[in-house]
Amino acid sequence: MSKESGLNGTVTLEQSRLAGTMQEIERRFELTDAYAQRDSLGFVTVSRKDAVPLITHMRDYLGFTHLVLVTAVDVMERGILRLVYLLHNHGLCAGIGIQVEIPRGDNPVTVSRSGDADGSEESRAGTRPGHDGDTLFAPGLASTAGVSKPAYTEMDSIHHLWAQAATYQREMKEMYGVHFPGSPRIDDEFALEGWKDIPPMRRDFDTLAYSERTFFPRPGRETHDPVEYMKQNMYPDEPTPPSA
Amino acid sequence: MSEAKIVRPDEREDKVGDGREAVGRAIRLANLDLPEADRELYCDARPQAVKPYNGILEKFANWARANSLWILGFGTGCGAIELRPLMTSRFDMYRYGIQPRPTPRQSGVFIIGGYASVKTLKRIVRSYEQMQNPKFVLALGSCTINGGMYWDSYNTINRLDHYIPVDVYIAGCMPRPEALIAGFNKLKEIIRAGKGEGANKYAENFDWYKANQKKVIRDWNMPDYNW
Repeated sequence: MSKESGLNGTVTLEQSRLAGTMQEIERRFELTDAYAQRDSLGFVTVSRKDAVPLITHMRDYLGFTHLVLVTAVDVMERGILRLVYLLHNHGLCAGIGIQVEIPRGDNPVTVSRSGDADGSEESRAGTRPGHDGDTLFAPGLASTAGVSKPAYTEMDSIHHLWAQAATYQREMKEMYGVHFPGSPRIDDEFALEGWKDIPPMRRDFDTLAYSERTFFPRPGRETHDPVEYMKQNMYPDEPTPPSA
Repeated sequence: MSEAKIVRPDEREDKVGDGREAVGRAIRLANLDLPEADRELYCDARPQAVKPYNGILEKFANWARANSLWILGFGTGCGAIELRPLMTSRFDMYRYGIQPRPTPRQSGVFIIGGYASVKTLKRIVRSYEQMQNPKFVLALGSCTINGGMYWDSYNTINRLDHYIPVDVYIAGCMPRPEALIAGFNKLKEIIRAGKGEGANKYAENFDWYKANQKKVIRDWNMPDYNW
């Protein structure tokens, strides 16, 4: 186990300081993928079914007591959301990222909304083009209409392992549309207020189009091709140079 | 110390007293439970345009206003960092008759420091409305002009003058304190010329401003106007 082996991604898990941990994990859980990013950081991929048991085992038996972060990556092309739970072991000075691939769940589920949140036309203006404004894409939507943001997909909560995970999960519900049933205050707004569109960190959310139809863009913002612009201003009579 | 009670989503009141639906959380208007006599302390009547004094009186008032600019100490974006050197010895804004005040009710100038997210805009509108007439707005940085580097963001507004009236724009990202002082001097010229009519413009076009504000602030849970 040499420290230099971590450079340039050449290290394997067997060479890294996570080798012992990996043996333990592999004996008990079905890993679909495992690789080392560097000597002190590895990533494993497990199914949703195994994810919380694996995290619990790592926390309680293998010394990965520090939850560094929980985040999501939208892999739109494969129709999945990849959740990443980054755990750290202070004894080993090493971390493992546990990746869980769950379906993005972009098939909208129509639920009847008991009352429009503010009754304004603008509340519908932000919905996805091609979908009815009253359609909430919400399999896991709580009963309080107008409070919850649309949730497309679902994952098991880990707030019972680390209380601060609940904050990450609130954020992911708002930004990625992942519902975590049972997580404290999961339906509360996190950073956005009164958001009605699809979750903004989803890659199919068009932030420019949203900005243009919502925020009164000031006319006059334009970009020039430098070659064309200089020619027009400095030597308009010259013939156009052949493009390279 | 009393124990903080967390209201679960299913226990919330969905209606506030005036029949409006609460969105997100149950927020009640501040004057809702007050006895009738005290309600007017929290006015939500529409703003009225104020006529200028006659002739020389108005000129004198404008001269006085221009030389006593009290800014609201509310840093609304990254540009607020420029207010610190402005206050301290190097640029020393006090020599221009400018000083910060802690509450909107004591302030006459509102400096919007750069980008304004929708969430901040709500507080900006509320603070602006609580300021006393006459009131002026300095919009600092390119974000307030056309969105700047956040022009395509889902959560920051593009142009501030659709939400509150703006007297002076100071371009730059970020404009330095000298630029800010130049902006203040421009504002003084505007005030002395009797053209600092932002508050009246707001009152006269109140419906237009309100419609724009409500277009982006989706969970409107405050009075339409308060001071």
